[in-house]
Amino acid sequence: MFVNTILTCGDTIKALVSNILDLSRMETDMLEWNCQTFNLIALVEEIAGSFALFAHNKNIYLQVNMTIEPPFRWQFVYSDKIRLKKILTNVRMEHTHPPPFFVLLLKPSGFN
Amino acid sequence: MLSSFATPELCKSMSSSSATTVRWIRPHSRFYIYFYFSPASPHVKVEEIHPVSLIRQTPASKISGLFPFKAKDFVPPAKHMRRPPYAAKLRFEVIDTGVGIAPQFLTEVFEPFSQPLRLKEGPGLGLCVSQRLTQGLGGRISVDSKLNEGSRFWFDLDLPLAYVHPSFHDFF
Repeated sequence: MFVNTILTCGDTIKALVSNILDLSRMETDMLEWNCQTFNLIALVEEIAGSFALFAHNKNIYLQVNMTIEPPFRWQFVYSDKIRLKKILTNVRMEHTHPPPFFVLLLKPSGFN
Repeated sequence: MLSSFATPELCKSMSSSSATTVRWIRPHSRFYIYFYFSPASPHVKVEEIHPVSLIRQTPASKISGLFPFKAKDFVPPAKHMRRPPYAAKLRFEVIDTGVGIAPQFLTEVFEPFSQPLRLKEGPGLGLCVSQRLTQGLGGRISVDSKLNEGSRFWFDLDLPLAYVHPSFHDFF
């Protein structure tokens, strides 16, 4: 139990420090993007996993909708994976007050 | 200053040097360098070609002045040589049925150090970082919310598709 507490505190501090670092880098236009090819489906599953842990701790119901039924070549995208993960995690962090219901939704809004 | 050099080596060194200098460019903005050489061009004379070292030290804005080709020498690449500009337009949504946000606070949700809810222990930087990162990736983030009914954060992103050969699918 104490180990869990320590781990949670460590994660909080890590998120805080990286947020501050990113913000100050953006203020000085020194933000470096690390783009890579990654599997979008795997990323969403990964984020859903961390959301699930959060939801379990807060005793809330989590639903993950992935409205994307890709052909196989849709699955791999080229972007900044870590930053994308951070965007979603930060949005999730806002809901500290336990909501009874919580949805992560990913849907294609067209094909360019 | 005259010197002879191999054209493929020049292209390679120029593209690698520009690849290192465009690290700061916004991701998802397409950046291609095409090298066209038309052997029939009458403008190419040996005296006009500058050595590799000179070209590499010259800023990109000045290269066009040194460059021996005219606009009509540039032929667009064949259809099958162009990379298709495909991107997946995706919308990510995080919906909850929690306390929600009052409409007068909706505008300041993405401001740094703003905590309209006064519920959490952090300094209130998360959404600001999210917004800036989304804008940096060429998307936009927004929120719809009703007090005591919940809120819905969503952001739209155009993610460029990458082709991965099926034999490498397990590596990603």
